[in-house]
Amino acid sequence: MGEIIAIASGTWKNILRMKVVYFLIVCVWILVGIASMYEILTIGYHKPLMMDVSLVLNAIAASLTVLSVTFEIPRELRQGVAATLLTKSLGRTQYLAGKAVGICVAGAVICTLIAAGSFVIYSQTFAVTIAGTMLKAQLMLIISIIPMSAMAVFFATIFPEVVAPVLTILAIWFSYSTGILSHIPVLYGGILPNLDFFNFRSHAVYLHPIPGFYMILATLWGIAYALFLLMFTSFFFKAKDIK
Amino acid sequence: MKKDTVVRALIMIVSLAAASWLALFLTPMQNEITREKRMLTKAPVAGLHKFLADVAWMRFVNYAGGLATIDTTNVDKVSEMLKSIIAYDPNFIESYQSGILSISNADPKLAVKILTEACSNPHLRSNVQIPFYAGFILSRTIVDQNNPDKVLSHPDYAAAARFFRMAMQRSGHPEPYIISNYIRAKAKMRGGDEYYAMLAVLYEEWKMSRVKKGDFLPTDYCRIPDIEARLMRAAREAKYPIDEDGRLVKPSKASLDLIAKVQKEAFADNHLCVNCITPTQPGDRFCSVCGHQVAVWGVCSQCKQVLPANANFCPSCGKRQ
Repeated sequence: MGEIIAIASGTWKNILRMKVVYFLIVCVWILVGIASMYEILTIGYHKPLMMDVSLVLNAIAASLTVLSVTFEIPRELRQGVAATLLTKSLGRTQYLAGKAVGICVAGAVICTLIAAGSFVIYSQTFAVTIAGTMLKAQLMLIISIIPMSAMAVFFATIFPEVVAPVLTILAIWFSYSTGILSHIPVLYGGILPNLDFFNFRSHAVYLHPIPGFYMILATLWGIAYALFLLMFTSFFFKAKDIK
Repeated sequence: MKKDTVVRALIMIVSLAAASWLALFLTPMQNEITREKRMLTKAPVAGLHKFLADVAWMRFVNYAGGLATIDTTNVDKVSEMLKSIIAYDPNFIESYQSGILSISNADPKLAVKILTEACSNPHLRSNVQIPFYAGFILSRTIVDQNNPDKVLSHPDYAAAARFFRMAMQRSGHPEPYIISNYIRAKAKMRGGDEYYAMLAVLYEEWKMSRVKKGDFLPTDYCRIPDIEARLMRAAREAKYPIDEDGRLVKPSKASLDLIAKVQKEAFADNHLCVNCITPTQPGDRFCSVCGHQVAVWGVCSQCKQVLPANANFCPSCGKRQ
């Protein structure tokens, strides 16, 4: 466990140390604030628009954060950093788990900052309190980073850094889009990821309730799926020749 | 096989089974929570339906705002824009309230079709305006603005009345304009003398409002709050009908018969003038509007002095009332 935490802390510190991350967070806040100026162009629909924009931008931020690991792992493998790490007592599975946990923490911090800032902007602009559904929708988005990071680790381990990010983005897009496959639950949501379980953007905008029990089950699904994918990836990683 | 490999394989199988098992529960739960997903477009948009609906709405506002009018020449493009908004977000109320209404003069059939679908949307079931707009469009004759000889849609009063009724049911306290449109649509549905039809419709509604517990009532029945005032007004208008030029005309025999029936059943205790259906005051011997002799009420049975409201004794002679 100690090795996993060590790798994870290295990963999240690397991301959270970058100034560009905070610059992007500020950009997101500005964009969220700008939505309030769309009152005329939307015929008074700027309030739901702001809520929606904050959720969409936060989802993009989560995907981008997760994507960073698809550059990091292939680079570490190429530069021999991973080989150096793996010569120590560190196991390959721990390395992968550490990367996934690290990216989850970094993503959670970034998305929480964006969500908190968006809530402040929203409540200050419209002088309203934040509804529970809005908080839950943002929380679901943050939880979706768990399976997403496992997916990113999977592609980053198998493919080079040119291909891995593209495949990861395609996989995230696929797992949000193909709701039609949800009629085959063991396949979609079992073997294939179903990130649509975490998609409550429209719900938050209309302030429809999100049951707490569903959120718990979705979190458990995210953890179970991430675990499955990490173990699956570890078989490939174990067989990989690392120099 | 190494122990480590076995452990990893075991964790993988167990976690896959757990994820599949949880997905079995989550999928129907999510379908129940987000019922509108069934109505969403199947286009692979990475769950960004709401955001794309917002963008499509802004494009629509931008485009429609630049048009002098929406008519048969440009309605197709406007309709496509609105359809795409609804495909991305069927709960987008503004697209129905501002958008669909804007195409109702150019493509009323499509407008009604979209509004009808919106009426069955569970998330919009408390919306009063959507069925009202559908009824409003259906109750009018709509002609092509560029070719007034071409009728785009004929009134369908039966369907309009259904939608107005739906709007009334959705509202705890229906607005007077919704009730008026409902009664007018039902009266038009009956056809014939307009005044008689209005009175007949209101009389039917009044009778339904009087049914006792356990008696048969239509499932979509909705009580009209001011039914008696409306019935009285309709009876008065049926008694003194006017033609298109505003001249008084003779009421039909059917109207007079119905007015008499209404007066007898609905207004027996309301002290109305039998001639002009105007409420009379205590002590009045003649109607203050038409001069017709009326039954005197609200006076002492002994000295014939007008009694104050709720008087137990006559203030003039002291007789117990």
